[in-house]
Amino acid sequence: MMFNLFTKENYMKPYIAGIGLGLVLLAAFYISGSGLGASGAMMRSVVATEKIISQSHVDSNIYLAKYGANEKNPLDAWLVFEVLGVLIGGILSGVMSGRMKVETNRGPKITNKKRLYLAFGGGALFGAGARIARGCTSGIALSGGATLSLGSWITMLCIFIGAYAFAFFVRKNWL
Amino acid sequence: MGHKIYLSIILLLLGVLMLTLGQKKEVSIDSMITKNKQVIKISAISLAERIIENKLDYTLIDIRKEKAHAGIEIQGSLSMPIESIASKYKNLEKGKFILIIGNKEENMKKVSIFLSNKGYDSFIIDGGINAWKNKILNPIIPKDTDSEVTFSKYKYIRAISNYLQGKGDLKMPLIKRKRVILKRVKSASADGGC
Amino acid sequence: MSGPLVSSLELSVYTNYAIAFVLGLGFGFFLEQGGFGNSNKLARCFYFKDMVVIKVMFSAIIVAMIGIIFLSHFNLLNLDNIWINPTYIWPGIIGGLIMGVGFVIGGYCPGTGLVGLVTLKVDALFNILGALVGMAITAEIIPYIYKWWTGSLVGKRTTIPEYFDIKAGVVGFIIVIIALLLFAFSEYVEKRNNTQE
Repeated sequence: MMFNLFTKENYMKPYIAGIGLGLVLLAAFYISGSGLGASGAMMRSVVATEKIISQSHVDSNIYLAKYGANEKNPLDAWLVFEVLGVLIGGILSGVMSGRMKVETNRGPKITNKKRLYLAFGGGALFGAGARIARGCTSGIALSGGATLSLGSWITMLCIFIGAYAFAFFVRKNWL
Repeated sequence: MGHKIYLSIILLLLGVLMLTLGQKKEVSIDSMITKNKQVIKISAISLAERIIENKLDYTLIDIRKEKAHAGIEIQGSLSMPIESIASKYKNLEKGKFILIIGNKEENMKKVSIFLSNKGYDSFIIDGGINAWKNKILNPIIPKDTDSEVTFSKYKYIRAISNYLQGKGDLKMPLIKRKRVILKRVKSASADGGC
Repeated sequence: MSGPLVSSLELSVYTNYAIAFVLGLGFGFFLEQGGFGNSNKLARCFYFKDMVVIKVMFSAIIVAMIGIIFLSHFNLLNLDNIWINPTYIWPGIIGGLIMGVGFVIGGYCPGTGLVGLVTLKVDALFNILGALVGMAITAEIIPYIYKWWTGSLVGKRTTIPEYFDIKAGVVGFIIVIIALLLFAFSEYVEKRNNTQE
């Protein structure tokens, strides 16, 4: 009985990918004691860059100092190595499924240029929200969700509420 | 469509199975791993100062066995033998710092980590009861050849020691020293973050 | 062998980092396999046309959640030694809402954006750059709102079972039911809106 793991469009069937992801997440907790994440590593790269530009600025900012004050190396963190893995894992999957393609995904009614502006702006907004909430969908929804962290479920709910509520206003960009 | 039904049934079964799980057993303090974990220590002298200053922002718990606690007791300490912590910790006031004193550093560390995990800001007394005995109750009398500073320090501690043991009041002028400020600290658990 | 293994086996930091990398491989792999590298696919979730986000995310959460509940129940996983996200009410709510808006405008979140980036999606590149800038700017603002940002703390490791005083297994069951309903709903809207499976 050959069960096809893939859909007609050559994506892995959602529930199968979800189970795979869930097992990786569980393994993360069982082996390393922490869940998966992404935005934290990005924040650390920002701090690392700022350290090169101005160490004194990092030292004087109470938020940045936590990551990279004085001798502290912000890139010396579990999350950073995990994200390196994410990058390579993404490439492996993309190569395997033939999705390595230079393109701009967007709705049919807008131009590439507009999409890129929106991508940047939306990304900036998301980055801001992620630092305020202390995590992004991976760290909060996936990891916090799995451990039943109260704050994580609240934030997860708010992410979906925010997205579904605002979707109406940007529908022309996607549909 | 087939695999979705199959998975849904398994999921439902697992869900029902979870319902049958009983209350989670409380992790015993003995099994706590302290290697590579930081705890914050404060000195016996800082503790003594805090007692004298009558600062009520802390709860001092003595994790030794009841009998030992009855032998040497520090003013205001709560006897909470280490075996009873797991069941009694909920009685500790959440807003106050928890200062932990005992015999062995390993045990004090375990209790500190346990309490930190439960949301308390906890600190251990550096050197435990022995430090209290040797530094506060019976401070070492400096030799004549020792420096002026050492003598001043001794006078200071002696004054504290006498006061705490009811042997006198704080007549000796206390030298102004930098105070240890207890700050809210990160809990000593697995390093994480997103 | 009880988890987390880094504690019980006293693994070195370097071993732990190597493990992090391998786990990351799996994470990135399944994200891309699910199609999360495509922003249009992701965004369509919010128009009920392609529910892959809900399906993958919630399957992953409940698989891990069930695993954690069972492992900890049989004392194979020490919950005191795993990372549990802290609960700050207002930063959590405000940050979450902002992220939701940012997601539906930008089309990605950091995890998916990185996956999009490495599969050469140009919009993912811009999204990640935007996110880095957004984070850098926010880092400058946070010190001025620090009191608010560190306020409304309910607990550093508060979980739903602890807070509502319900057994973890019961909470798990409820979430499984919610997930099944979400999945059923997702299947229904996708069929109705005629997307391919």
